[in-house]
Amino acid sequence: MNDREYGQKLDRRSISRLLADTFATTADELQCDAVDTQMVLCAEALLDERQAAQRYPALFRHFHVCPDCRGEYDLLVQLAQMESAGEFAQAPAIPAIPALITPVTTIVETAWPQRLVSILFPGFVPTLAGATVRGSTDFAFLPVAVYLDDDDRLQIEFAMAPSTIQPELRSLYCTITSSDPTLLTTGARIWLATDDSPRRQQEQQLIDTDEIVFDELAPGRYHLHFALPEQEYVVNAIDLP
Amino acid sequence: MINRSDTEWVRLIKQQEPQVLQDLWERLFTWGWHLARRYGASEEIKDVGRDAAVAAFTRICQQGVTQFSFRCPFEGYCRRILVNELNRRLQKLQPVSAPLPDDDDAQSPVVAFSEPTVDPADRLYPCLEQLKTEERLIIQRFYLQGLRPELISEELNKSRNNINQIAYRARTKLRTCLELQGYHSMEDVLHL
Repeated sequence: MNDREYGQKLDRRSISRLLADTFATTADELQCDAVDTQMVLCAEALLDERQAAQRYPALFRHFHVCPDCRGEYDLLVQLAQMESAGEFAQAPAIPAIPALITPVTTIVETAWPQRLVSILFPGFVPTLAGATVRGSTDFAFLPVAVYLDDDDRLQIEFAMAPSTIQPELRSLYCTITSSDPTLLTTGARIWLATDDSPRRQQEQQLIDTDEIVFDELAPGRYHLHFALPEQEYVVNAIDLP
Repeated sequence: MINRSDTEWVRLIKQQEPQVLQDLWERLFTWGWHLARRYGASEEIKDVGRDAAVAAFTRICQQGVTQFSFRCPFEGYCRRILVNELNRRLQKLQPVSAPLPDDDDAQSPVVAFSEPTVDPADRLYPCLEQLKTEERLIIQRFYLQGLRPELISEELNKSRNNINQIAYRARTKLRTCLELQGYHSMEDVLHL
C-alpha cells in the first residue's frame, strides 16, 4: 500500500491509533455478535462508566474498535435510565400494530410493465381489555398497519367498525401514510374487489386526504387495490366478519 | 402491562398470541418514541423512532424469538434489537464519519514523535502491503477516513460483525509483521 492507494498519507493521529489498536489486539477479543448479552446486562445494571468498564473489560475493549456497538450501548443505558426514572409512564399514542407479513412482488405485463406487490392481509384480531377501535361498542377489532414496501415508507392502516348506516354492514377505514411524501400522488386510485366479483367496487381517489372509507360492505372477503404510477399494491383476503 | 417470564414471552410470541404481540409492540414503540425524542422533535426524528420500532417488532417476531438464548432478560434482548435499528437510522441523519477517540483516550495514547529519522508510516507500509485487498480497504476506511464499521458494512455489503472480524484479522497480521521486524510496541515503531 502506498500513498497513492490511500489517496492521502496516513497522518500521525491515524498511525498512532492504528498502532495502539494493533498492539492492543488480543486473541480473546470479542466481536459484535458476542457482546449482545454483556451489553444488555451491563446497561441494565446502571453502573457508572468506570464501574462498568471494570466489570466488563472485554466489552469496553470491543467498544474501542466498534463505535457502532458503543453507540448502541449508550442508547441502552439511556433506556435503562429512563425506565429507572419512571419516564415511560408518559405513554405516547400507540399506532396500529404492524402486520407480520412478507410482500411478494411480481411484474405484470400490461401496456407497460408494472410492478404488482401482493400482500396477504393477516386478519383483524378481536380487541381485548384496554384496546378500542373507532367508537364501536358492538364489536371491536384492533387496527392493523400493513407496510407496503421493504423500506417501511408506505403503509395502510386498516380499521373496521359496524356501518354507521346499517349496523349489520361494515365500514372499512384505510389510512394511507408515507414517510416519503413524493410517493403519494394526488389522484392515486384505490378500490375493493371480491372473489365473486373482480370488478372494481367503490373506487375512490386520494384527494387532499389520507383516509379512505369504504362503507356499507357486506361481511365477507375483500381485496384492496391501491394504484400508484407504475406500481400497484393488492392487499388480499381482508375478511370482514 | 402484564409482567411475564421470559419463557412465557417466547412461547406466546411464537404462538402469535394477539395480546402478547400488542404488548410487545407497545413496549417497542414506547421505547423508540422516548429515545428518538431525545434527538429532536422533527417529523423525521419521530419517523425514525416509529420505523425502528416496526423493524424491531418484525425482527423479534420473525427471527429474534427463536434466536433468544435466555442469557439475559427477554425485554433487555428486545431493547438491544430496538437500539440496533434506531442507531442505524440515527446515523443516517447525522454526519457520515465517526469522530476518532480523543487524544487523551487511555487506550489510544498519541505518543509524541521525537524527530524520527524514518517516517513511522514507512515502517507500516510494508506490513500493510501484505494484507489482503479487503483487509487494507477496511483499515483505510476505519483508521484513515474515520468511517464507522456500520457504514463500511453497507459499502462492502457485509455484516458489521464480519467487518470487525476482518479488521481484527488485519490488526493481528500487522502486529505479527511488525514484531518480526523487531517492533514490539507502538513506541518502538515511532521512535526506534
